[in-house]
Amino acid sequence: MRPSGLTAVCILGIILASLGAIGWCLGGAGLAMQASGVNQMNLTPPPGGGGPEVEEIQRRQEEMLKDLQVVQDKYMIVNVALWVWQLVTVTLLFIGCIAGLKMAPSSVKWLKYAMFNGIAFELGRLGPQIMMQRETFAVMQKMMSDFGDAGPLRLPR
Amino acid sequence: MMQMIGSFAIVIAVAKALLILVYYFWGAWYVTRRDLPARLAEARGEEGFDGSSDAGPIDEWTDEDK
Repeated sequence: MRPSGLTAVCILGIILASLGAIGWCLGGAGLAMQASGVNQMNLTPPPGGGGPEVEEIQRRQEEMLKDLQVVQDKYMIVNVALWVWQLVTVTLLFIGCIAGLKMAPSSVKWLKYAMFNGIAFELGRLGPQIMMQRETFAVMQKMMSDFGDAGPLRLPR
Repeated sequence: MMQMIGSFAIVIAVAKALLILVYYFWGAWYVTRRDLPARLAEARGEEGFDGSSDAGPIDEWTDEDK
């Protein structure tokens, strides 16, 4: 009978690897959109123009998007490297956990690779992730303070 | 308010990473246990051996079998 600890490690690992695989696909789509310059936010004006206040909001949103694009471009290489590394991590975790559930003789070796690679990956991506979030947040905060400085904006009904 | 939302997003990201790291560290500790390969081999042996081997008990082997 398979050791219960090994079963727990493998089942949690497969869940984590599945979530990682979904994240990897979404991350790939995001990177592809970023590389092709497609805006993820829809800034089409409302029907009928919307007046000067709506134009002002749009102008600020476009400015914010440009600033966000600068932040994303700055971290593009790091993000691509992390995206590739994530694929390695997810693959190793799948191989190790499936081998572990089958109790294959090589399962311990693959699980060791998966766990130590996973630790390195999580620690490695924590720094860039926090820095990128801080910079993204600073851009959004700047836009919000610009709105505050300009006084309340009334949207047309 | 925005400051709070930003800090909260970072706290959530760090908490998620820590939770995943806890799993990886526990997994690493578990798979590096010295007794794990032996336990696995034992588990495989228990499941694979059904007593119907053609070779029979070792004390019945001839010198040629050994």
